[in-house]
Amino acid sequence: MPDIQLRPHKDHWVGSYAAMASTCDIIIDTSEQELAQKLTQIAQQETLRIQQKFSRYQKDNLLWKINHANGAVINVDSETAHLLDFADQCYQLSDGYFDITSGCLRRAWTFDGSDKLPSEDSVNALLPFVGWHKVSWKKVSWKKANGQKNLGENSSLQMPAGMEIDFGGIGKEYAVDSVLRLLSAQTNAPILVNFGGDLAVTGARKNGAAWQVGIESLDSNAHINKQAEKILEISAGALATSGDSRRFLIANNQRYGHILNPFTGWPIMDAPRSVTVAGSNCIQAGMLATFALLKGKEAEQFLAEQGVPFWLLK
Amino acid sequence: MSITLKCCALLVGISLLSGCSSLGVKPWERDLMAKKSMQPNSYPLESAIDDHTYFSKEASAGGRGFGGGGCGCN
Amino acid sequence: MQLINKPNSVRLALAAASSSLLAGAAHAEEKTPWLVDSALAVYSESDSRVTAVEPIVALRKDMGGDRMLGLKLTLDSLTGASPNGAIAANEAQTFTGPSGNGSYTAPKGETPLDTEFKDTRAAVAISWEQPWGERNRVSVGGNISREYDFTSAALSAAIARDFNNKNTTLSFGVNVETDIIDAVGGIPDPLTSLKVGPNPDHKDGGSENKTVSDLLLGVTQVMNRHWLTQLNLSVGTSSGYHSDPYKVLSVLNTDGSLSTNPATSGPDLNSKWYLYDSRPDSRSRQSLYWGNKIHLTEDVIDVSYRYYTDDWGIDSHTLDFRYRYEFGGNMYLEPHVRWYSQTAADFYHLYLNKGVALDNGVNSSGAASALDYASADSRLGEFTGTTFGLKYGIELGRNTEFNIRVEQYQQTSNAGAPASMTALKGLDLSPDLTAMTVLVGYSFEF
Repeated sequence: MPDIQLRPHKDHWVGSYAAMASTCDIIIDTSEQELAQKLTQIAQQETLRIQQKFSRYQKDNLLWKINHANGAVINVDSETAHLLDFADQCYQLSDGYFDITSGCLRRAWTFDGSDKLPSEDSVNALLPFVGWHKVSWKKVSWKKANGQKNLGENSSLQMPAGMEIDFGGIGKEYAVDSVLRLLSAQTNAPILVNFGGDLAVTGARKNGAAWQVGIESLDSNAHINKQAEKILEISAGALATSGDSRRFLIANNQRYGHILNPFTGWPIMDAPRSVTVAGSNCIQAGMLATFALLKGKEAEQFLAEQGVPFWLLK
Repeated sequence: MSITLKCCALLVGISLLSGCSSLGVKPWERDLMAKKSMQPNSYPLESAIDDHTYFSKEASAGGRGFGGGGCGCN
Repeated sequence: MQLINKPNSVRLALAAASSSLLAGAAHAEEKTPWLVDSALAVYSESDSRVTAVEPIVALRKDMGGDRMLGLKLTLDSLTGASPNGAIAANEAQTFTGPSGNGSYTAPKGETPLDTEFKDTRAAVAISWEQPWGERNRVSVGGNISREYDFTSAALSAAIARDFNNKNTTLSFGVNVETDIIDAVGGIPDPLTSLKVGPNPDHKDGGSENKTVSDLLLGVTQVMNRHWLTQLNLSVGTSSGYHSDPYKVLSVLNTDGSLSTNPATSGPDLNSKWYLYDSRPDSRSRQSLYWGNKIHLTEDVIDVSYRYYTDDWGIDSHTLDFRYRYEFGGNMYLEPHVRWYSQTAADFYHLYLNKGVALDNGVNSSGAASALDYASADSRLGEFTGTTFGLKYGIELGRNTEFNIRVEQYQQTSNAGAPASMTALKGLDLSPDLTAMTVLVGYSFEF
């Protein structure tokens, strides 16, 4: 198992490990090192489990099988069914703007800060492979004893050959929530799980105070001056950030951000560079932030309508 | 008596159903309802023992569930 | 975007979708353990009457796809002495036990207790519950219970359906039970005289049976985040043998003294007169149950009311109140108060008067033909029952809990005889029943 770092602080422990292209911090409001060690190990195990199961870079996982099915029907397990169903609902809720099949557009786009726009032909050539509505998603669901709906192992997915899906827009936030839920079943100590700015807490700290969280990408000078990050307070729920102020192209005096419109294959224009949203869990917060970016210049209005706390970097 | 009783129950039932617009919670407000102590019959064995005891000492049975019965304590 | 009626509905819809994703995924990862629920109850009546020891163990497991298999084993061992229906008298009373062999004597002024009372019951139940479509759950179950003079088998089925975003659940259940009573010493003919010694009139080796059917219609409604309410309507009918083959009624003279058996010869000559219990061969009952669970900041109130009525003339009211006080460390204390009150069955008699009707009505076999039904079973009389209890519980982990409960039950009846029955003066004809129950519960998973 890869390394874990455990650092004592004045009244809490911080366990860290690297996964999902971020530093994953588990902050545990306890003085017990043994507990912190155990929780961090559980967190790491769960994070790696999700990463291996849903990463598109991993060969021989279920996602790889789906993306290489060549038009065949693939049966999925219950957890994958839940994620697909969630992605399906997000597709509906965003009028098709949030689409887990749009990842293939990356073949045309490289956001390296240069002015190298792809040709219209290369983008158009990819568009036939984008569109969740082209996927046949058959879910098997039933009602659980506690009244909640559940999705079953026999749910299935059938995609036209050449299409692929990825959980890039959901995976990290899902991992944050999953890890937090697992850890909170182990202890009553307050916990904050932070995967590179996507974070969730079990509740207020032991002394009743809110957690202080610095969000780097909310300050345009943050990558110049690390001290200038924005400090937010959180005592319940989650925060998630979408957008990346360093992934863009500039051509013809236009800034092309990396959020792509699945209908045109081109970047959504005039979107904020980064959006941070507070929500009841990390997936919800993350999806609201993503939806906001997909709204372009109406991002701020959209978030204001939702009645959630948010912070924009334009 | 029993007919009145049935009618009353139906009326209450219907008013519960039709009054639903203002009743109930959103799925994410089910935190308290999910607790074991909030289940309609959170301690089924305790209820079973109580039902059995009261069935053997009192003339009434059932109500919460089918209750009591299955014993010769007639 | 059909969902965008309210401006903030995307937030709400995402909250719902994400919580169902997390709840569902949590379920997906779980290995489904066996959930074990066990309890031991010790019930003890004062005045060295019945003592019961009842262990139960129940197992439940998710067999995949939320299909729950349940198994339950109950043992129930009773010892002690139980009232035989005759009342206390101003003289000692001696009875032949149901087996026809032994006999027991009640001292002057004391309620006669059948000391042959002893029983062991074993019951096995199996159940299966599963989803049916997205909104329904169905369940079926079977139950077999056996004691040496009684066998019971039951089948049940139920369906529950959700409405209003699962805030309303309608349920409908059916239960059918058949009982076989194989009384020790045979089944006596109703309202015939209790004999001294073995009773040749008892239906030889005969057994009787009874069929019980129940329907239950229930509505469960989430009123708000803190309040769950449940309303059940139950309708039941039973037909067959309802009498108690071991219970009798005292026949008294107008002054309250014990009558003499009208037999003119044989062992019964000059013995005291008792008639066997006789009840209608059908019973139909209805009940309405209203239960509530109210979650305060931490504590939970459980309050319920039940109204019950049947065509034997019994009406009852039951009020039940529990307050679960969470005092930290995953521990709780739960005081419990229950109040129960019932009216008597139409044919309930504390004793029978040796009146003209009874005298003239006695036929050659000693049956009181002028009366159809009569029972002195205190269960069918008018009384009030109160329960006070205290429970302590500690949650030791997921699905793991230990609890202990101590309760006292008291049954009080005012039934008595008129002052004109001077022979009964000063006798307590309906003594209070006081019982203590200690219940220990432990649930865990493996």
